[in-house]
Amino acid sequence: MTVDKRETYSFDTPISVGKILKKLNFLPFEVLVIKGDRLLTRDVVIRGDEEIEIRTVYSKG
Amino acid sequence: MKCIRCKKQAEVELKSHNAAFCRDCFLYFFENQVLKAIKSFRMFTRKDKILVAASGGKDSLTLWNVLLDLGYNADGLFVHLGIEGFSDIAKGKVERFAKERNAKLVVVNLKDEGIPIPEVKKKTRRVVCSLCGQIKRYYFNMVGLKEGYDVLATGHNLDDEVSRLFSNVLHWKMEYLVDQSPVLPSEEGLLKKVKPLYRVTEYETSVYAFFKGLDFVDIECPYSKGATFTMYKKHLNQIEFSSPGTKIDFYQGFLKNLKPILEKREEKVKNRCKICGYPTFSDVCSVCRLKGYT
Repeated sequence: MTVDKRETYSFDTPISVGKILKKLNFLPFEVLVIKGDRLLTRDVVIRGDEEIEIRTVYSKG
Repeated sequence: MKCIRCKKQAEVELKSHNAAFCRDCFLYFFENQVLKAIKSFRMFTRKDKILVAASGGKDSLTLWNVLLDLGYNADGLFVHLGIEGFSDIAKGKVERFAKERNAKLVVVNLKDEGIPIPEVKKKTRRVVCSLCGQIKRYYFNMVGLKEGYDVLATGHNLDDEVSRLFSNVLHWKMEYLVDQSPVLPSEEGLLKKVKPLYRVTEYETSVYAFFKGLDFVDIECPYSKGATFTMYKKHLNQIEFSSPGTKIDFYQGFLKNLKPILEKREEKVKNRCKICGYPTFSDVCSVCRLKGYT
């Protein structure tokens, strides 16, 4: 499984989205966790070699 | 996790509301929060002519989009700051947004006004973000009044408001606390200003922008690195995580408990700039001073 935020991280699966965010030091409402065109909540479990994108939500103005 | 309204698979969890929503129910929730803000503070009606301060970022485009979706008469104003590698990209995003929705967009170019931000930065020792904000507010107000708008709407969200409140309280900036509100009524020379996104967080705004497929500026302004409010937002997020609902309680508590006391001792601006007529405490406003008038 791969997380891409300009950097790419790999984790052993199965693993929940919540645990990934914790490992990467993100609070759940600081990022969008995206798979395809859907958002994932903390309880969703990532399996096998699934890929997700983690996008920070801070304003950049 | 299931949506609390329709029991479908949730895509969004909002601990501060003790809720989780699917896409459709989240959009319903979001629009309701905006409507609640508009109505509870009597920001504007569907008859009013609204000018949205559109920077090209997610908050301003979210605001413009939600107002159009809700049937409000909302045009956009973009202030081109003249910042290389940033302003042209932002302008492109705003123009595309307006074109796709057949919405009216007004553009002010600070180069044409003689005060592009890079030049302003060279001339002053002050923090450029604060001056940039001051210049933008000046043109939002001037254009809004000149073009006959009833109200100026900005995309400030709950996180913006709470971090600003936090900073103003930490440093006891009483003169800024007085002016902190989702609505600033119109006065002579000043257009009414409103913040219809004040009830929704940065996260909720991002989710809305994602669900609506909004194409916004995703690069950082080269001058905004290390902005203090960003640091405050991070600290406040830690508090919100430990105690969900703290941000909205802090802000609503301020509006209910402290704001009425501060309003009683408010000092009104008495002067007008002798060059442009903008309300100011001195003879010449700060924007005219930047332009070289004394």
